[in-house]
Amino acid sequence: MNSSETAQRPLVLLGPQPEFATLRLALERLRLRGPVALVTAGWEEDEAEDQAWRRMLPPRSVNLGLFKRTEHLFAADPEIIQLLQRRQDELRHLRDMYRVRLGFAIRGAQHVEQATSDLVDFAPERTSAVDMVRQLDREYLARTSAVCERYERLLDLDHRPLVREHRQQLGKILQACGGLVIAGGHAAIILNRLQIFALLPLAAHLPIVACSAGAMALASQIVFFHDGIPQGDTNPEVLRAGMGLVQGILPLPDGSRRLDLSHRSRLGMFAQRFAPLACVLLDADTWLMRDQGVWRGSPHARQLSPHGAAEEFVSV
Amino acid sequence: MSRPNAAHARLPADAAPHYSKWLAEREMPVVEDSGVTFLFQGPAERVFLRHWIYGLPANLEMHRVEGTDIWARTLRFPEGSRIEYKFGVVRNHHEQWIHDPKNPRIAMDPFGGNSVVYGPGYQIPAWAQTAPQVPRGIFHEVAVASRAFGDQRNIRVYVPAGYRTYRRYRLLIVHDGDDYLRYSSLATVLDNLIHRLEIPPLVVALTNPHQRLQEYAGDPRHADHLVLEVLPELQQRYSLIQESSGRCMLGASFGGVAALSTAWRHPAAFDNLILQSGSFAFTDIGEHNRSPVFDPVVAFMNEFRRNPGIPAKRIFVSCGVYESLIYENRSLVPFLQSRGIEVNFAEARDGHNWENWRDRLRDGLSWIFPGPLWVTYL
Repeated sequence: MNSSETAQRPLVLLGPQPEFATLRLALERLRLRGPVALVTAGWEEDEAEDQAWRRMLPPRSVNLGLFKRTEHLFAADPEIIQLLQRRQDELRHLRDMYRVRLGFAIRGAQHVEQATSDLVDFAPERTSAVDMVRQLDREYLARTSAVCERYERLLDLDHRPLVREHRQQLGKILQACGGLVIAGGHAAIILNRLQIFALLPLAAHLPIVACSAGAMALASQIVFFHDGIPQGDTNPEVLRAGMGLVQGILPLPDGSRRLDLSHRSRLGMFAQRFAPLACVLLDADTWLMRDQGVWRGSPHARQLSPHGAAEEFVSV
Repeated sequence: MSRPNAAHARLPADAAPHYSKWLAEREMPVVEDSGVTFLFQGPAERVFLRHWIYGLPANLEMHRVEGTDIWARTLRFPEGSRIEYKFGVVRNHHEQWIHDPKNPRIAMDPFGGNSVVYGPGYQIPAWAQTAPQVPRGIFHEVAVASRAFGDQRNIRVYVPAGYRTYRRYRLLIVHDGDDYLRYSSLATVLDNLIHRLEIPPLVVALTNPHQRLQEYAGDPRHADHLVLEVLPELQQRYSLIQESSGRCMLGASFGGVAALSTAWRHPAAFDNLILQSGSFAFTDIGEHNRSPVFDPVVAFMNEFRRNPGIPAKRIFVSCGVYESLIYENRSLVPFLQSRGIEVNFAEARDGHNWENWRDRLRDGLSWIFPGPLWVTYL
C-alpha cells in the first residue's frame, strides 16, 4: 500500500450496526454509486447470512464470499493451510510469552502508578514503567510481523494458480462496484482473508466503509480488549500488524461497552501504551471519516485520554 | 424503626400496639449491613430457623417477642452470601417445616424448595435472567435404547439458536438435566452466555437417571450408557466436534460423582468436566459417617483415589463454603492437580443447592469452552 493511496482513499470507520444507523449515514456521505462489494468473512461459516446487510446496500451489491473462497482454497491446496497452521502455532507461542511478560509489566506499571511517597516524586518511574510496556508491545509487533513476513514468502500466494484465479474473479467483481463494505466479526479472520486475496490493492479505486473488526483489520495494529470477560481481568493485547490503511487511529469497536470507562487508571494506561495513536471508541452511534488525509469524527466520537477519560475526539 | 433482634427479641414500644401492621408492611427477612432479622408471626410453642449452613448449630431457636406472637432471630451474613432456610414451627409438640410466609423469594428444588435470603451485595446474575432480545435454543427429544440398563432412556437435547449443520459444535452432557433446567435456569444461562459470546454455541444433552442414588454413585452401567450409547447417538444426530477436547460433562452432588466416575472409567471420552458440589465422600481410615446411600460413592472414591489415572484434562470444581462437602471438594483439587490435570476451583458463600450451581455456571462453562468474545467485534 503506497502512502498516497493510503492517505487519499475515502474511508469511513464505524462501530457495531444493530440498527445500521451509521452505515446508512456513511453510504449517503460517500455517495456510493452502483453495487457495493461486501465482506462478511468475520462471521465465518455464517458469512452468507447477510440478508439484513444487503438490504441496506445499493441494488446488485455482492458478497465477496472470502471465507468460503478460503475454505475452497484450503481444500484444493492443502499446503496453504498447513503453512498457515504452522504460522499460527508460532504466533501462539509468541503470544503466550508476550502475555506472561505483559502481565508482569502492567502489574508493575499499575503498582508504580498508585505509589506515593512524601520524599520522592515517582513521575520518572511512572513514565519508565509505561515505556517498558510500550517497548514490549513494540517488540511483539516486530516479532509477529517477522513471522508473518517469513510465512508470506513461504506461502508465495502471488504464484499459486488457484489464488490468482480467485483474485482475478474478485478483481472483476470489484471493477463493477462503487465501494467496499467490510462488516465486523472475528478480527483475525478478516485480516487473514484480506491478506490472502490481496483485497485492498484490488479495491484500490474504491471508497471503503469498515465496521468494528473490519475497522480493526485496516489499522496499523490490531489490539484486542475487553474489561468484562468472564475469566477476569485481561490486559489489552496486540494481535499483530493490521493492513495499515488506517494511520493515526486505533479503533476500539463498541468501546463504551467493552471497556470499564470508570476505571481511569486502566484507561489512561491504555491510551499511553498506544500513543501517538488515538484510541477511539467506535460505538454504534459513532463514525470516523478520512477527508483529505484528516480524520474527522461524528459529534459522539470519543477517544481515551492519557488521564483515562473518554474525551471528545479531535481531528488526527 | 428498630425491630426485634436475637439478643433482645422485642418490638419497639411505639410499634407494639400496631405490630401486625408493622409486620404486614415489610418484606421479610429484614436485611441490613448489621445483620439479617428473621421474623415469624403466629401461634406456636417454639419456632426454629432451619438452615443448611454447615458448622452452624442446627437448632437455631427463634425468640418470642414479649407480649406478641412474633418470633425473631438476627444473624450476621457476610458479603455476597445466599442462604436458604425454612421455619420449623412447633405446635402440639409437632414441628412442621414451612416457607417464610412473608418472604416471596423461594428457591425451588426437587424437594419443593426453600425460602432464600440474600446477604449484602448478592444479586442474581444478569446472565441467569431471561432477556427478550436473546435468541433461544430449542429442545429435541431423543430416545436411546440402553443395553447397559436394559431399558430406554429419554434425553432432552438443547440445540442452540442458529444451529447449522455445516458447523461443528461442542457437546455438554448434563446429569440431572431436567433439574438443571427447572432449578438452575440452564436454558436461560446457555441462551445468554452464547448470545454474549462468552461461550460458543453448544449442543447440550440433558440426561436423567431412573434410580439416581444407585446410578449416580459410581455405577459402571451409567458410565457405559453415556459413553457407549448416548455419545454415539448424539454424534450421529448432531454436527459435533469429534475430538474429546470438544466434550464436557456437568454434574452436581451425586451427579458430580457420576460425571467423575464416567470420565474415570472411559478416560479418553471427555477432556473436560464441571463438577459442582460433588458428593466426593471418601475414607482414609475406618468407616464413613454419612448415610448408607454414600456406601457405593465411598467405595468408588476410595478406588479412584488409589488409582486415579487421568479422567480428564481440565476440570472445573465448585462448592459452597456452607456445605459439608466443602472438605471433600477442597481436598480433591490438589489431588487432581498432582495428576497434571488443570483445575479451576471456585468457592461461594452458598450451600448445596441449585441456585448455587446456577450461579457458578458462567465461570465453569466459559472456562471450559471460552467463547469468541475476545476476538469478535460485531
